[in-house]
Amino acid sequence: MNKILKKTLVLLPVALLAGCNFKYTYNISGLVISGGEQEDLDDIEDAGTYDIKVWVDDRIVELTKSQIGQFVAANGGKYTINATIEPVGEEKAASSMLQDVQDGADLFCFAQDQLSRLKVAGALSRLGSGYVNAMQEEMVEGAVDAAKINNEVYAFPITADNGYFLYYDKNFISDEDAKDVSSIIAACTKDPSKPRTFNFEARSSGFYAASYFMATGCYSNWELDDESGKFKSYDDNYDSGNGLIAAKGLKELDKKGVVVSDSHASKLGESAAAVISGIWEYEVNAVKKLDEAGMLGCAALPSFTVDGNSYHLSSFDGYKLLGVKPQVDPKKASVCRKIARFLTSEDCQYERFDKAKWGPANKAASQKEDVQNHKGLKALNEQHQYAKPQGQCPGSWFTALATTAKAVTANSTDAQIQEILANYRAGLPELLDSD
Amino acid sequence: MAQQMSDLEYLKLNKFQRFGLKFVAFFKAIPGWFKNLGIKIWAFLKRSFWGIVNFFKNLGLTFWYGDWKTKVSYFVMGFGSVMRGQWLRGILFFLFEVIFILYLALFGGHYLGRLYILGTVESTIGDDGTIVYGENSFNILLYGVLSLFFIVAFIYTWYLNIKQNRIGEEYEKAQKKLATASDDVRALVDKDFYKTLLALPTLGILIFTILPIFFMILVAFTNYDKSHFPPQNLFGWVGFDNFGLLLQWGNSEGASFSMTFGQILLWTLVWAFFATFTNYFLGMLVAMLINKKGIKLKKLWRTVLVFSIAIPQFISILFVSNMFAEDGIINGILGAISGGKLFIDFWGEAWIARITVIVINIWIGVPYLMLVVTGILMNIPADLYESANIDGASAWQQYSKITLPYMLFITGPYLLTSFTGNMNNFNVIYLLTGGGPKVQEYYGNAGKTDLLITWLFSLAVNDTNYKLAAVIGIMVFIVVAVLSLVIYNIIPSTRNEEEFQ
Repeated sequence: MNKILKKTLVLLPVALLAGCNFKYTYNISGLVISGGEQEDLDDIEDAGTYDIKVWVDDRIVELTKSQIGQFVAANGGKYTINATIEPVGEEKAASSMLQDVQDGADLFCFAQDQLSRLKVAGALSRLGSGYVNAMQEEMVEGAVDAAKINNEVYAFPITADNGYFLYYDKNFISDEDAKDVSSIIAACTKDPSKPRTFNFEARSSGFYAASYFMATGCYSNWELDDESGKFKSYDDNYDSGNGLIAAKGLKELDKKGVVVSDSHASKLGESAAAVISGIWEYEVNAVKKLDEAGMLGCAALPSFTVDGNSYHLSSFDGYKLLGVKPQVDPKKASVCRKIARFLTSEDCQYERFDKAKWGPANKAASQKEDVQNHKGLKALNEQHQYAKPQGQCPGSWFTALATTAKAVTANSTDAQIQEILANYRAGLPELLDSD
Repeated sequence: MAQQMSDLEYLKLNKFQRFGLKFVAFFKAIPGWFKNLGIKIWAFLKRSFWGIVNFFKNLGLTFWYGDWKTKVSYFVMGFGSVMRGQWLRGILFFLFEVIFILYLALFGGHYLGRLYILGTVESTIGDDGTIVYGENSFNILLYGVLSLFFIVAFIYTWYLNIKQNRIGEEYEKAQKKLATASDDVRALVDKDFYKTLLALPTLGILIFTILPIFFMILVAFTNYDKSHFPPQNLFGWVGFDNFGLLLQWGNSEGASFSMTFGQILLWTLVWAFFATFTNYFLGMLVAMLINKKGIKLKKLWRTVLVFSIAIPQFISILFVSNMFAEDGIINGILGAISGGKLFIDFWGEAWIARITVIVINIWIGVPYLMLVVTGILMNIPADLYESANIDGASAWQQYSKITLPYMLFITGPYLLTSFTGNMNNFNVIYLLTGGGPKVQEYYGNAGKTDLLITWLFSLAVNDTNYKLAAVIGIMVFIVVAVLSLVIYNIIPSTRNEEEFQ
């Protein structure tokens, strides 16, 4: 009975929102060949047959199927993996795991900001030092930190591309204009017969609004309690002189009809001349079309000017992680970790870049020539020097920042802005209990 | 007061004096209402008390004066029935008892025993990535409630079994023939056929409607949220703490929640009022226009309006939502005709968003009303209008004295269900605005166009805050129930037709 209720409660909205997705199930049984180095990290005898459920983005379902096949082949006949690979995107995977861990996937991809919630929900377990040491050697700087809570690592970094940068249409925005928010806005309105928009979600999304505050030196650090896994304290200076500068910078986005609060690149080349978004928008048709026409520009975020001083917009250095669900069977837990390590290895991450253009978190894979030459990843790389690591914070902090940014852009005087920032600070204690 | 003055005196008063009189009478009557309510509650309690006393008294007397078959039936259900030749009833009673005992002993008893605390053993994750699952509060609450339902059903069946013995004894004394198994089977397809038909639906309603509602109500008294989410974490009872949040003021989480609840409730009522009555009157107006003599191509106008019904509502709403977006077609047109000067942030500004959703709802709802009203308008006796014309009544007088009262009489219940339906009109709000614009002062990611039902959804699905979602669910029920009762007693449809005429 509880299954029925749980399914209704959890899977119905998931199914409704996700639409009709196909489920891929297959069986792999490989030959015996010598084991790889991952055995050294999990030294228990774990040969056998396992049913493993994997949730990945629909673009890499087939690829993941093939890579698990490679894992089985690399380990000879040691494992028979009955893998069920389902197309469940990162956001949906995290929320579904939070709803029902027991029914969730054994391996699943998620964005790093969900790490603490997943850990509290019992969807992740601590990784041993063998894995951590290996990852620290193999992954790019910051990737392993993204999987850490209080110095313990809980997941395997699978991409290092979850930040954002500037896409622009060179027909309207010159490379020089792309360096400054005011110039981009001016370029959008230069030709009244062909007005264009600058799509930047900073007015309604905390994820993007933070780029202004972090640019002026603001920080919001949240500390988790080891035992309960809940946030216990915070250190936040958004309500400060620097916060006021950032808020005044944000006000520039209150250009009705020119700056659109959106982060989809699908309108690039049509109504939009510039869009701030992530690499996940790189494969949309509008971007591809503009690229084929040779008019696609990708660059680090622009600067903004307040009281004569220029500030380069910051951003979050975001990573996607591969999580392993705690298992009742220690052997299955060991095998799942081995598969996760294999899927986040150099070859697999590079193959994922090659097939789906995902930016590798693996150091060697990220240094390959075609990865380095990819326009979007190159822009992300340029932005990296201004970016800040996206630590763990309550999910509701993003909402609080979004409503603050919205209120700031709707008000004009410094006193009003300071009041809004004070309201933001007053609401922070409430967030400790909300996540 | 109206009661103390004569009808003639009352009729001499002007409209304002009459209103003032009724206003004062309303407040003067309040203590009387409470007194009546108290009397009724007291009478109910008294009736219930004596009902329980009599129940146990009857049980005791039946046992004391009953024969040995009846006495054994107190412990072995169905024994007396079998001994008196009613073996089908007896076996069914006995089977029910066996199933009940097995259920409690092997399954339900454990959950029932833990229902008071909802579990104490948490899941633990080892360093080797293994998990040992502890108790599951969700299962304890669910199966505990199921067990309670089962116990109530058992007590009722046990009572029936005793009653059956008493009747059996009386029949034996009167030397009357008791119903045999074949009589019972025949009755189920003849005299008691309604029982056969209702058995399955009743069971279905009990399991799929009553049980989840009961479960949801109990969740409001726990701390079930993302920090207390089974199976990794336990949740427990917190009494009325969640409801207490609704009554807090000042600078606390509860204050923020109660303020948000109050604001959203107010907007929900405003929305329901406008969504119901704008559609109602505009739908009536459109129907009257199309029905008017002299209007050509009536079928065409009706067909054009019905087209908007033919397209699935959620598709139209999503499309319209995009049309009114910052970079949607409406702002594109406004920009084009004003040289880029005119721009309206339809979904970004609270009041504009609220007015826009009401206006779009008119576009969605008017065709339905037009169809409903057309049929009713055609049924208003034409001689009423002819008489009015002869008496020289204006068009407005005809509308306000004939059409509107007739419409209100016929469509009163529809208006009531439409009002309560609009209070819970999830689709329009969620698909158009998602509850936005979100604002700094609201609790729990709520927005300025959120209705209680969309906020409830957001709290449950996005924030995993089941405890507060359950509280809001209960409050929505209370508000809807009170309003329905009040409106139902006001609408003319509840009076008889003669009174109406």
